[in-house]
Amino acid sequence: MAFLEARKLVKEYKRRGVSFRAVDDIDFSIDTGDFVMIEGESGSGKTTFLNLLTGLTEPTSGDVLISGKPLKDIGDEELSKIRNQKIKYIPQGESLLSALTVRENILFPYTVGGLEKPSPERLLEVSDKLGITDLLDEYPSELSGGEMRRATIARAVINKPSLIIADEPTGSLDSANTSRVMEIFKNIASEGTAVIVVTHQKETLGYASKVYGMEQGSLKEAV
Amino acid sequence: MSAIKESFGFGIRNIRKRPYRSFCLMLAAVIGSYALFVGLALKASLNNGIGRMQERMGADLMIVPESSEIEARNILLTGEPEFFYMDVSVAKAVADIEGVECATSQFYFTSLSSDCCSTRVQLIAFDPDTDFVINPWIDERVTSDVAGGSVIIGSEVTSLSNGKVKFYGSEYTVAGKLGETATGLDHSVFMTRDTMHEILNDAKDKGYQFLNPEDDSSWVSTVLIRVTGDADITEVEKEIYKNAEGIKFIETDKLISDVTVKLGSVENIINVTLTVLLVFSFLTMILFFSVIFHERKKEFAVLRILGTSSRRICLFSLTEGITIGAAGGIAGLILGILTVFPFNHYIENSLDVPYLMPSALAVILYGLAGVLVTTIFGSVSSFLSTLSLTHAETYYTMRAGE
Ligand SMILES: Nc1ncnc2c1ncn2[C@@H]1O[C@H](COP(=O)(O)OP(=O)(O)O)[C@@H](O)[C@H]1O
Ligand SMILES: [Mg+2]
Repeated sequence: MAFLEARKLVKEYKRRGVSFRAVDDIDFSIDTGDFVMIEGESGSGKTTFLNLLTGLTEPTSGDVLISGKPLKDIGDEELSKIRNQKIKYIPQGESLLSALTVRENILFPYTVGGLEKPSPERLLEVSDKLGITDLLDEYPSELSGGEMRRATIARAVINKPSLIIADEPTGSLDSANTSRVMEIFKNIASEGTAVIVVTHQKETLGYASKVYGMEQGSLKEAV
Repeated sequence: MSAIKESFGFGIRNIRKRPYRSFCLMLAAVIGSYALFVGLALKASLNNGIGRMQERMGADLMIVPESSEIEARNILLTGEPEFFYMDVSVAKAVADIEGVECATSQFYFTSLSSDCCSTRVQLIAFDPDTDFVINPWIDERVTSDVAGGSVIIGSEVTSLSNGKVKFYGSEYTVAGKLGETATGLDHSVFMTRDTMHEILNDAKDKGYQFLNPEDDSSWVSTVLIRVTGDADITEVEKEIYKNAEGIKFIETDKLISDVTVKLGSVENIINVTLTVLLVFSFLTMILFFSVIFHERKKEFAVLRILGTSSRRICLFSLTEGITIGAAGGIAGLILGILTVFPFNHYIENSLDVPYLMPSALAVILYGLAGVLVTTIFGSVSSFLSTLSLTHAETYYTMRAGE
């Protein structure tokens, strides 16, 4: 049984009164250690697909299953716990909490969840790898776009979750930081975490073990 | 427990991170709590005042010179010093009338605010043998007696540093102090006719020729009457009219109902103002919270992504609402205390209805009610604003550019 699975997944939206499928009948599955990348034009439905996978959006039809269990059968508390501990989602754009320092942002999931806080050594290990150790006590407003991005990635990878889902994680990064981040994802996948990365930068696709292309809501495996 | 502690920590961080917005929100709470506190304290003081007045008006009927009704009301209601006289025969005219249970006469005079006297107050000579209106309310009795040239002072009269009071150059020992009555009697000084006679003589020596002290015993200012339980007051008045001329009756019941009517209109003004300010405070908080939370939609989405349950998110915003409501409420309470207590006398003097503040403790309880109400306002408005977000799907989704 796959860790995460999508079956006949459909999401319809209305535009000027006419409904269209942002996600159109997708079957998909991912298992531990898989490093999947999804490539597609802007507007092709990538973000919508990820929101469905994480249960943040309800599908129009079809199912998402985690360890064989449909998300629609899981209550808010439990689903929240899954997002807190097992499925780490790195959304597109900025997603640090402005009232908290970088350190507090990285540790925030432990504040709301039941897990024990990671050791200071683990925090340093991750922040060193991402080059943000000097920024730990700054507020997000002091950071550049690339620095914020790396802090967000640190927040996701710190507890070695079962699945990391990243929506265009390298969008605002230069090529040095892009390869740094992709290396981190690759390492994490090799340690057994499943990874889904959405991108529109074709040059990063080489890191993946499996590549999909997204077009007008349909997902197709690239050959 | 730790969830609540951490929610508060996070809530306070958010409040501090946005000082200007938080200040505006708190201001709305300040207004609500301040209005409620001051409004309730005023209403309580007014009701307490009229209650005390009713209780302490010992007489049912007051006879005054025909032309001096307004002055007499002033003495009772506002403590504005006045004097007027009528022939002493009026006192005798009531003696054998059926329905009169007891009667006593009083003689009014005033002191001056110049350096001959402690303050300008109403001086009232009463007859200790027949009195039934003053004696029951003497709170602190001092050893000496009024008979020996000493006086009893109203609760608001201040004595000199040596404990005495001074009128027209002579000092008088204070034999006792009246409890608060919420009437003009609080600003009066009471004495026997003999002491009054001395004061009139002193006044004449100082060149203040108000009344010839030679024949002051032939005048009285008022005759106070208590009627028997079954007596018809108008009948009693009719009988007295037969024996005396140039007089006017002031009925205590009528006086109190006049005051009650006036009180009602003052209370209406307070009620309307209070309601408007409370509604304003609540609506402002709802509006502000929903605007602020709407702008923070993305932050809520991040919280969801990080695995914060809907319940926990409500707890987060609730703690912000509670903190702002309570902090603003406490600030309003402090402002209210700084208004109600220092300006107590000013308020009392500017309203011409009896006003008597209940104990400070009771007043502060009203303040706590204000804090409670704004805390509820804060919680409800933050909670409603969050609900409106959690029901919108946009709340869950993060989209590029947002
Ligand atoms: N909440 C929404 N309501 C209506 N239309 C939406 C919503 N979210 C996304 N869409 C539309 O669905 C399509 C796919 O969007 P999205 O998943 O963000 O694409 P991508 O991430 O590939 O750029 C777009 O045409 C977008 O306008
Ligand atoms: Mg997108």
